[in-house]
Amino acid sequence: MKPKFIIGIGIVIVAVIAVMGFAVAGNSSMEVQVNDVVAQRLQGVDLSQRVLKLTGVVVGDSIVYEPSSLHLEFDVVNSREDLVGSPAKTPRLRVVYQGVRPDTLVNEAHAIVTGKLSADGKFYAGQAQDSLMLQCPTKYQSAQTASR
Amino acid sequence: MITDLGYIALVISLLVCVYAIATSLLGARRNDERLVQSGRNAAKLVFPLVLVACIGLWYALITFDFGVIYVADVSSKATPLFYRITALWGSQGGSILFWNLLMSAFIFVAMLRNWSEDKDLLPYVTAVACLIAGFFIFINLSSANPFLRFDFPPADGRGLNPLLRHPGMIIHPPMLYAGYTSFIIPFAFLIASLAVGRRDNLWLIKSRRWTLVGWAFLASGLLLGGRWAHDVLGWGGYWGWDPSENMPFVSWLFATAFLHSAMIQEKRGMFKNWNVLLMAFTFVSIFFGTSFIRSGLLTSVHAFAKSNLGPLFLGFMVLILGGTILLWFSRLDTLHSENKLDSWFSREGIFLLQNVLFVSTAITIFLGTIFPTITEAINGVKITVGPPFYNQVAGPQLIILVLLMGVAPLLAWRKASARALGKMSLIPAVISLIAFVLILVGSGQVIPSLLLVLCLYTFVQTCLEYIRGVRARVNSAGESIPVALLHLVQRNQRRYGGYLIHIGIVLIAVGAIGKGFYGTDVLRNVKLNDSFTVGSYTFTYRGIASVPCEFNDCQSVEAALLTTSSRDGSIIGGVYPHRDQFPAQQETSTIADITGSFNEEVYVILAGWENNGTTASFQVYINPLINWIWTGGIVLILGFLLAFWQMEPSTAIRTVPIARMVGSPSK
Repeated sequence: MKPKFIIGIGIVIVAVIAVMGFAVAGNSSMEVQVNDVVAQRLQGVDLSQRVLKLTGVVVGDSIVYEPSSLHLEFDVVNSREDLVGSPAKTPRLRVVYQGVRPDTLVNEAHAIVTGKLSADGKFYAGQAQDSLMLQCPTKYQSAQTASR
Repeated sequence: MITDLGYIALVISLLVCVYAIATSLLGARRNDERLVQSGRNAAKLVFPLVLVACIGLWYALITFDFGVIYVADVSSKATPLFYRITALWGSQGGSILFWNLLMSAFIFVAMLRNWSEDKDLLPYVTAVACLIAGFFIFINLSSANPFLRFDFPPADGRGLNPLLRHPGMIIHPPMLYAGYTSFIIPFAFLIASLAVGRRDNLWLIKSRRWTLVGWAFLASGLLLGGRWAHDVLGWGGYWGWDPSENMPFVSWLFATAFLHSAMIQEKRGMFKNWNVLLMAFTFVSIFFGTSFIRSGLLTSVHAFAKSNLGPLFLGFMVLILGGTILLWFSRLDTLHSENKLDSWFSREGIFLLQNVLFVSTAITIFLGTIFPTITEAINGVKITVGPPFYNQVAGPQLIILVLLMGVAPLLAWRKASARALGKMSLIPAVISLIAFVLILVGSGQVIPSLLLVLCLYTFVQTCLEYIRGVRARVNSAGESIPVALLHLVQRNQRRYGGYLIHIGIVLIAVGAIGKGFYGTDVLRNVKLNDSFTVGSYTFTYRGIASVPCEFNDCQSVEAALLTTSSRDGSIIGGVYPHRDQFPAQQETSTIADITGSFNEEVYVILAGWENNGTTASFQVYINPLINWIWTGGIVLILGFLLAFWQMEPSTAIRTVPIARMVGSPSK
């Protein structure tokens, strides 16, 4: 292949890498779990400046939704096992979201919330459309004992 | 009993795969035609066996056999028959079984074809296809077995997730799976060609139809998935850059690059190595995507439960990729280019640029999707990139590709003439310039105006390809315009089908730009008989009421809104968004109602209510041009059908005298 084609392809690749670099710098969030956030907060680590992508399991009876103001709050814990054990002792985080309550927000649902941890200890979901996501349909698998 | 028979049939199908691989390879080694044919017949048998397995599971679903865990997971006594049938692909085990059904059906059809021209490829195609099918059947029998039974069967099942009860969700998985699985055939042809060491383009020509079928199924699957998300998820959107969307899109981009690049190999005998890699990337990306999504390795709204499928899939994928690369290296001497690339400013040059962009777009989306896994491996922290990343990185590359679609057909092979290009671009350029001024004045936004005009340029240029062809026939053969158009398309359906696909893509791009740049959404809480205005629409809330639910296991509450024009107060009509509650699944489904016009969709959802509906909240999305996406999808499929019908496989490579091609646009 002639050098002019190699140079041309090189220019395209460098441009794409440069755009990617800028886009990553401006649009990335750190994936964390409830236990990580609670532990780091106890250690005095300031997480409030970073955009976080929090994954956790919804505590059904903590859900508070006001349709008039579209204000939604609920607790998340680290895993489903935490809901079965002793919920009082389990580390949990309060999530605050402004918007329509998703249909799939139910007890034990797996929530993925993108937002920031506030000084009041609550986790505020961002304004973007995907700032509160709940894992959908095909996730449900039976955990009961099976035999064949 | 019938269900158990299904399981047994699946076990036998795995053994048949192993037999087909062994006899085919042995037959090739010993040059024993009888063994090769025996392998071929065994490969044909896999499909009926997997079909029996599917019938077994269908039987369990239809007869409410809740002793089978899978049946209890995806259906209940209240699930209607239609949804019990489609529940076959409602969860992991069943969906892999359905995947196997489609894959084995493609192998069956491939085995039925006439192999007289390419007999030497047959044993290897059989072995590769059965190796891959056998792997998936093995998964179905081990990690994702839908035939497992409870020790103590429950009285009723959970029922199919309400969100999956939508025509788009019924058709979307089969489409996507058909797209994925049909690539097994072109990939098998590639490996067979490398194994045999053929120097011609036979594998490419013989597998072209399969590639096009896979490509069209992937496109349909992606579009139907978007339509389902739009109608059912109550978010007004259609695409969220979720891993489950990105992975098939990446495969589709590789396949699109391959389809274009294959043309250059056919016409000029170039890009041979590149085409080998593109087909390998397409197939491996399918594997990669499937393994990542299905194993729960990536955080996705569509993730399957975390399972042990990941290592199995990844291990097999490494085997496939490693094997392909080794084989390719060993056959580099058979893949010499027959011609050289002379200039960027030529059909081949633009195809190369377009190929680079397809691949770079695919790789950037892929890297964005697996970014959390990469960063976790490097420093233990998962860093995720969101939709803005993809819009900023993939968006510009995709729009350049749309522009290249308009320019490429104008360029001659080897070296194009700038004068000829300028002459042919004059009319589209003038139309685009006028349109740019008009759109800019109307919207006041520079970037979307520019993007829409780039789409318009490509649209006009593509239409002109038809017009030039028709005019030539009218002048030379004295045909009427409709007859000339018919004959033009008939003479080269592949080419004009391709142009129709380009028009479909332009329409989809216009829809994406319209929704992305001009779309708005508003949340309002209103009292009974109060009004609120969004854009040029005024909504007056008239109350809520219980209405019969579409399904027999839910209760539905519907809100009524009167829609009038905020400009002149004229009545547009009623809007009735509703919420369906499913007590058994403890879920609610928010179903939007849609009004507005073709060019401006108004998507209204009932977000909630208080005090029996004395106040209620609504979210209203104004989605300009979104319907162009669905229309573009239909045009794209029509273009595919047109291109597909004429593609009679032919080993004859068309040669055009080079002297005639230089400086003149190809006809």
